[in-house]
This record gives sequence, C-alpha cells and structure tokens, in this order.
Amino acid sequence: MRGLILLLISTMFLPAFSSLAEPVLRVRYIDASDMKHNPNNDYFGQLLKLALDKTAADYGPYELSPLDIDISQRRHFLEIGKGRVDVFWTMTTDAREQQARPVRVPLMKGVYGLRLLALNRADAGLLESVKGDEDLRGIRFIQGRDWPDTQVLRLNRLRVETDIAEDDLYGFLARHRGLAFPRAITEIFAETDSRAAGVVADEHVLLRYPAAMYFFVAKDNEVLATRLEAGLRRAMGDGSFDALFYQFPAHRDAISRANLGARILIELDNPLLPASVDKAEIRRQQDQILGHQYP
Amino acid sequence: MQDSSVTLTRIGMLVFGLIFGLLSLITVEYLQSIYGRDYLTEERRLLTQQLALIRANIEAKVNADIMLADNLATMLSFNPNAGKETWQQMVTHLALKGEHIRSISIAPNDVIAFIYPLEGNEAAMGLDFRERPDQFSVVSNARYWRRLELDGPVNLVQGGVGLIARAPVFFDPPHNQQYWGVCSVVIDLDLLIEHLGAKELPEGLSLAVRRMVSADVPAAVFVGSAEDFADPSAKELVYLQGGLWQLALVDKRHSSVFSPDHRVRIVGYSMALLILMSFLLVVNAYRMAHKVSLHDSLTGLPNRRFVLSLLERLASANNSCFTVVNVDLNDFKQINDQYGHGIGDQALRHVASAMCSALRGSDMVSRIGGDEFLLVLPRLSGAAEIAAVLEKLRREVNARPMTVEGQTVPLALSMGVACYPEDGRDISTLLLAADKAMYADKAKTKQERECAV
Repeated sequence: MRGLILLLISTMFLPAFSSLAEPVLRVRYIDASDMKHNPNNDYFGQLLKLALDKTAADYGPYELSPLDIDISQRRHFLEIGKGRVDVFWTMTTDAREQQARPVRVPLMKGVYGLRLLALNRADAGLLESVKGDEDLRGIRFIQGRDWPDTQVLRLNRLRVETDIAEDDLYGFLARHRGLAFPRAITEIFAETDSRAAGVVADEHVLLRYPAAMYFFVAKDNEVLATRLEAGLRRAMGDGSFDALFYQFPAHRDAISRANLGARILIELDNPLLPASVDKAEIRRQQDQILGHQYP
Repeated sequence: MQDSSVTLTRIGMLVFGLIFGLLSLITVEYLQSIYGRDYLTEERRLLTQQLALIRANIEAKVNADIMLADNLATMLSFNPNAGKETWQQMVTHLALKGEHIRSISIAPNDVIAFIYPLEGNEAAMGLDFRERPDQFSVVSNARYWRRLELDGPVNLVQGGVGLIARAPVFFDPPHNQQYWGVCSVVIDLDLLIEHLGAKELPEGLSLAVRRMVSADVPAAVFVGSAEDFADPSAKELVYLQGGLWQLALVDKRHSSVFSPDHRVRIVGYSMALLILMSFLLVVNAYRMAHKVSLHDSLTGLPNRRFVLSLLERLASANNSCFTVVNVDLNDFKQINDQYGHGIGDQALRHVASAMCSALRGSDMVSRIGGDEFLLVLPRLSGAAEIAAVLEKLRREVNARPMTVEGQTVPLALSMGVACYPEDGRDISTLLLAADKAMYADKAKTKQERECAV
C-alpha cells in the first residue's frame, strides 16, 4: 500500500523534476499573420525559430509560444516591458531602443527601406518621366501618422499627407489621383493585388533609404538578446539566413515581380536611423537584393 | 458726603483714563502710520533693486543662450547640406557657450533629424512639429516672420519643461524665401530659475514670471501663480530676443505680530500703559497721604483739620445755616484707668459708629480731640429738630451697650449745640459756643447724678 502511494506521488511530480533537470526556454511572441492576412509575419516566426535552433546546443532547448492577437506597435512595447511578450520585431529608432533592448542584427536586409509606390489605377503612368528626387516634389505622398517613414520622407522634403485614417489609405488612394503610397517591396504586391479595383503598383520608381528591422526584447532580458544575436550571426555565416530570406514565398514572389534592376533608383537620406546601425552594411544588403536573380 | 466725594474722584479717574487712552491711541497710530509708510517705502525700494538685478541677469544670460539658436541658423543657412557630422561639430561647439542649455535640435522641413545630446532626448528624434500643434504655432511664426521666436514653457516630448528659442533657416540668405527648416535651443527652466538667484531670495519672498503679449497685455504665468501679479512688491519687464516677460517679487512675510507692521504699536502701547500705571500709583499715594492728614486713624472719621476746612466752606457760602454739636464722652478718663487704653480706644470707636448710624447721610461726624467729637448738621437750625437729633443720638448710644468681660462699660454723652449764624458768625466763636453748651450739659448731668445719689 505504502509503495503504491509513493509511486503515485513520484509520478505526479515527474514532469516537474524533468523540467528542473533541463529547463525549457519559453519564447512568447505575437503572430498575427492569420489575422492580418499578412504572410510577412510568418517569416519572422521562422527566423526566430532559426536563430533559436542555431543556439540550442549551447543555450538549451526552447519552446515557441505564438499569440495570435493584433496589437499596435506602442502596445508591443508595453507588453514587452510588462514581461507578457518576450520578443517582437520592428523598425529601429533611437526612442524605441530606449524602450526595449534591440538585438542589433538587421532582419530584413534593409527591405523596408526599399519602397515601391502604390498609385491610383488611373495614375499608372504618372511616374514614367521621373528621373530623380526633384521630379517627386509635386507628388503628394500618403502615410500613416506614426510611421517612422513619414518623417523620413519629410526630411527628404517630400510632401506627405498624414490626415488619412490608416485603414483607409488604400481606399483613399483608389478614390483620389495624384497620390503615391510608398510600401516596402515585400508588402506592395500582396496589397495591391487584393485591392485590384482601384490601385496599382508603379513600375518605374524605387525609393531607397537605409532602414533596419530588429528583434526587440525586454531591457533586462540579456540572455535572450545575446542568444538571438548569436543565432542570427551563425545563420548569416552558414547561409541558412539567406536561404530562408530568399526562399520565403512572399519574398520570392515580390523580388521576382518587382523588376528592381529596371527601375529609376531614387536615394533618400534617413537621418533618423540610430548611429549604431551600420549604414554601409544595410546598403550592401540592399544592393544584394537589387542584384538577386532567382534561377 | 464722604461717599459722594469718593464717587466724584472715581468718575474723574475714569474720564482721565479714557482721555489718556484716546490720546495714546491717536499718537501711537499716527506714529505707526508714519513709520509703516517709511518702512514699506524703503523695503519696496530694496526689493525693486533686487528685482532689477534679477531682470538684468535674465536678459544677459537668457539672451546669450537664445542667440545661439540664431547663430546656428546662420551657420545652417550657409551650409544647408552639411550632414550630421558637421551638425555635431557645430552644435557641440555652440553648446559649450550656453549656460542653461538642455538640448539643441535641428529640424529640416520641421522634422527633428538631429538632437544634442541624444542621450536622454531620444524620444524627440523624428519629432514632426506638424503633429504637435502646441509647438507648431511658434515654429510657423518663426518661419513666417523670418526671425527668432521664444516659446515656452513647453512640456517637452522627452520629459521636463523648457523654454525654446526657435530660429528659422532658409536656403537663400539673405532673401529668405526658401524655407529649409528650424533649429531650436531648449533652455532648462529649472536650471535657469536656480541660476537667477530666485532660490536664494530671503525666506517669504518669491519670484513669479509670466509671458507678455505686449508691455501691458499679460499671457500665461509659468513661474508662480496669477495672484502673485495682483499686488507684488516689485514688478519688472524683461526684454528678450523673441519674447517679453514680466517678473513679480512677492513678499509674504508681513503676518507675524512682531513684524514691522506692529513694531511701533508694541512699543507705543507699552509706554502708554507704563505711564498710566505710574500716574495711578502717584495718585494713589497722594490720596493715601491726604486721607492720613484729614482723617483720624483710630475711628476713620474726619479729623479736626478736615472739619475746620469744611466749616469754613459752609460758612463762606451765602445764606447758609447749619448746626454744630460738640459731643464729649463722659468719664472717659475713668474708663481708661479702669479698663486700660485698649478698651478706651474701643469705646471711642463704639460711640463713633453709634453716632454715624444715628445721623443722616448728609450729616458728618468728626473726632476733634481725645474724647471730643464734633457733629456738623447742615441745613438744620430749628430747636425742636435739633433736640430730636440729640435725643436720637442718646437713644442709639444707650441701645448699644458695650460690654467687657460681662461687665457693661457706662457710656454717656454730653452735648453742646451751636447754630450758625445765630450763635456765632465765625467758626471759632461758634465752636466756643458749642463747647460752652457742652460743658453746661456735662455740669447739669453731673448735678442730676449727684442729686440722684
């Protein structure tokens, strides 16, 4: 009888004992890819997994715990601060680097600084004659108010309207002419395709400025930050990062379709990029994308 | 008659006290007002001086800091495409010249692209003035008027409160048609106030500062409160590049009892009280001495001097008539010998008290010698009335026998009456007549006693 109870008790505590013996790092992140119909988020989940896999040998096992909710960027920072989310990804700025701890490895090869312009369908030929940034002065760009890109465009003395509700930007574009809505190359085609009625992606111009997307963790979470940085660097070193980046279906589709080599490249400055970002490296990575040929 | 004179004296004292009090009040308050006015004038002059010094300091120091924005704007105008490295050099150099500078920022096309120092001001990077209506209006003014504007106090994006000098930058100086952007110098308000010496003001003094639209149109108060400007001890206008301020020095010290407001009152009223007390002491001493000189110390009755002066006064009045009665205690020598002088004195007091209670309030009993009393009965001259009074006196004395150790001490009075003016037109004649009448009465009594024996 006594032996039976002992056995029962030890069985109850077995999972606890095993986890004590080998702690599993739980990594929670917001994955709203289903909810937003945005396949891009899935890339970051895979990249996170890749970085953690590359470090499993020295940092131990992990467990990814995606949360499928859609929250704002601001809320992301709050949740990181409260410890309810362990990691998320966004464009880096000086202010953001104060609010959370950046893992200073660019996740997107500067893709968010490679912008194509969504236009009203009737304006498809609007930018045919553009040769340089001077020719864009007459265009009204539309952007969301809190996007870092808005200020980058304004600092380059482009005219930007921010009075349009963020969820109506494409709708507004479909209703009005003479506007241009800059989007990252990996975003634009999925978006214009789904709103085929009134908008189209321009085929002539490519805006480029340095931009870096980072993983952010809680300020005191040095372990996760170091691990992710090590993992990303290893993945870059052994080619698995490039493999994931270029083979990711949405990237492959966007880059092949964008016809980047044939466009007028308009270089813009980004004074808001934190000094810690290696601009030359971002530029090199962007050049790599521009020259990438899918077999 | 004794009572009425005392009442008169009391009323006199009361009136004197009131007049004295009133005079003291007027004098002290007058002195106080003069002193207070002089003191306040002097104090205001000092405070005005102090505030003028603070104003001069603000103008010198703040204008120097503000002008850095103008310097930076000039440098940017001539080198609009310089880039961040050059900005860093220029701004680091300029910041060394400022005393209260919190940060310096450069905003091409009204978006902050550079801020020095970055540390602690990260939140302001990328700040787009178009999205900050509170700051954009001053930025727009600077652009529109093509001149430096002073804004503030502003709640800064990066936290804290600052004054901001905004200088517009143009691509094409000196024509200034093409707007490049704006550069801003943020002055740390707390540091500024501290340096102004406002924190070293004497306790109870506080400094208030507000912006002015013009010399007499006030705007928002940013140090102190609006009430401080209602009645300050001193006011000053501060002329700054791109802004006009008003300073007010507020004195909140005048509340204690020992403040200059009451200094003269405290001294004045103490002096007045002291004088009054001394005066009362002197009056009292005089009254005591006077009483001793006019009263008999054994019975408390008026003495011979007193009664003589009274009789003189009565006699000098027109158509006056009064009666004096000379009273003598029979066999007083025997009482002294038999019972001792203590009992003798007691007998005199006993008789005096009996006579006082038998007479009217207007009558007077006085002791003029060892066992001799003189009664003064004003407005009384009829023989029957006088006889009634004498009879009443005898009855009263008989009704109050004095006993010593169970033995009755025999008390009997001999009385002699004299009426004015019938029995004498001058006092000594009158008294002599009364004296004679008394002796006649004493002799008659003695004879009757011997016959009875």
